[in-house]
Amino acid sequence: MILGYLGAGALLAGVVLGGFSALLSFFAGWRRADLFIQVGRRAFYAAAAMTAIAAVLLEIALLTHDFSLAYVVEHSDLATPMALVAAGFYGGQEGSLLYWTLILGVLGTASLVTAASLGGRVLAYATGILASILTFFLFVLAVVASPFDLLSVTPPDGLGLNPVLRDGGMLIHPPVVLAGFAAFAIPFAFACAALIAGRTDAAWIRHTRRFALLAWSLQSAGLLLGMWWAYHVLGWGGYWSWDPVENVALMPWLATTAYLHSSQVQEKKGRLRNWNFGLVILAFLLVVLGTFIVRSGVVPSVHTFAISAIGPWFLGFLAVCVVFAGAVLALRIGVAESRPAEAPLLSREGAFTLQNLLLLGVIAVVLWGTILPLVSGMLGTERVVDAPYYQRAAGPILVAVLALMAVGPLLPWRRAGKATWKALRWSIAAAAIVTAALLTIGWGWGAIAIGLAAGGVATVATEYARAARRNPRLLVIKRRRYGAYLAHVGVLVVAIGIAASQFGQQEKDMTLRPGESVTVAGYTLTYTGSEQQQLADHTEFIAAMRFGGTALAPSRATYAGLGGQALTHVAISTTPLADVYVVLAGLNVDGSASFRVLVNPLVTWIWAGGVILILGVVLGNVGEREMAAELARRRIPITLPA
Amino acid sequence: MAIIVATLLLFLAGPFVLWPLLKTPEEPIPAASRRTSS
Repeated sequence: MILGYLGAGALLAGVVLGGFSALLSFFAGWRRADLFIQVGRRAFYAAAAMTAIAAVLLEIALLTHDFSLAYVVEHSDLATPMALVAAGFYGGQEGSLLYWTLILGVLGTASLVTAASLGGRVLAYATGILASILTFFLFVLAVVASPFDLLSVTPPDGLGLNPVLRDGGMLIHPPVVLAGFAAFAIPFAFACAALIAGRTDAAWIRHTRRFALLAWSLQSAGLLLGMWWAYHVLGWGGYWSWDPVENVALMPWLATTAYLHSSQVQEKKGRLRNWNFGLVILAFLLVVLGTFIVRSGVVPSVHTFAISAIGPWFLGFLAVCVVFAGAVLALRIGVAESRPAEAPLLSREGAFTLQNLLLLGVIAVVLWGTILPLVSGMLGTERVVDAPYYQRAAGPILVAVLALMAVGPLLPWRRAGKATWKALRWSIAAAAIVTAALLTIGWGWGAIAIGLAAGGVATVATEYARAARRNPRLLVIKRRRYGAYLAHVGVLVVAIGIAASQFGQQEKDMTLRPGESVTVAGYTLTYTGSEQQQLADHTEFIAAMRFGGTALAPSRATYAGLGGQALTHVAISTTPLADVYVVLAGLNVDGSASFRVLVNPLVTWIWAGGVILILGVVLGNVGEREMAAELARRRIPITLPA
Repeated sequence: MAIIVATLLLFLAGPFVLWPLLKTPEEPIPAASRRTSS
């Protein structure tokens, strides 16, 4: 019980400190009062520390089974393994908001500590904006959805986690994706601060690049982990269902992908300043919109466990963010752009601009599909779109992005010449050969997508070969560039995996008696028999199958304590070319069993591509600043005393 | 109870937050001594 009081107290103290930091920082920035800027920043650090104290207290309450707290009762029980009990911290609405606030506090602190070079006013306004966001979250946690609410009677045991969340994926997917969401606030705060302070040069981009990249990487990993989890746990044979929760995680990722490319145009050429501000602001607004959509339940979603009464608060917060960002942009728009934004299409900057427009097109498609039930519901009849809409509308745009990935890295700044076409020959050849080969097996758009992705890989190989010929040390010295190309390879490998599994998937439903076999896409499986196991909190019905020398055990778990809620455990056998994916649909009284068997080509490429992507980001950025500093030092002429 | 805890935490955080205002300002170097040193 004492933990509840301490936690609620820490949250309240955080609200006061955060609000104080926000008000003082805006005032100090306006009056250019250095002393108050420092105090405002320290108040932010203290508010972040209060958030950390609250988070530690909630974790202690979970691990010590303090069932006087409603949150602990609702998201853990004595039978759940300790790792999952600890993960219950972010397994529910209130805890996940606290986790988000914690990451915002930690990253906000890191960004402010390292931002001294940006100047007092930018720093003050950034502190004010970050503190405002932090205060909003802490207020919601302290007043509307507190994880420290106490029960009048302490029960002997808790209700436990939702069965879908009782999985190893729970330990890693939610924290990564929530941290990604929180990280988008940092570039947003510094972009708005730079606009208010009138510092529209690229300094804010250089400072926040690492945080934008961190947000993008976390979101990339979060999306892929979510796909992996859905594929391995939910048992419907796919990994992406265009559910609103997936869509709202995808949209900020797309906006930040666009920003990470267009920001290079500003850094190198001083162009697209307004555009970059707009993209960073858009990414954060999409995060807030997504949070409202997911947490309010205004749109039908499979993630119903996240719904609560905090929706209206987030709608209000979204409105404030839109008005604030719109006002800040309107204040400075036109002032920031000092040079005309002309860019020939066949140039690096032209390719970046086109890529940005295409990605915004995908965002528009996904956004309309996601909010259609909300908008159409307000106008009369609620309408819902499903996967074919997204595939038809976003698919061709994404294929165009793949084409751009095959061409863009080889285009020079300013204007492309004959040398560019010569450099492109390997990419064009790779794309043509792969596309032609896959068209013969009737993969249609899939053939074109995979062909273009192969062209993109050839483009990166060409760039690596060029660098290796000129000077292999270039790969290390310009690691940011070549790391980004490796991340490109990761995205392309993911694209190949998605295209192959979408266009090459084969499935079959069947009922088998023990000893009977079935063949799907050339893979033969034999049903050998079934068994029933009684475990601590559920009953497991297992149907054993043989696939070559491998034993597969698809099963169904029934949780009696949760009203007979059933969960499917799929069995997957991975071969180099395809996954054999077996779902147990049901066991019959005559001993037969009904199955759905799917053969999904190249799904492992999606997970492998994710690893390559993260590797590219890490290798491209570890020690990058130190290397830049070293090069700068080397260039400074040594002046001898006279 | 939570308000008492919050007040206590704010009291504890006070010196850290207000440190730039609390610390003794550096004494200005007298003009005469500056002239002497140069």
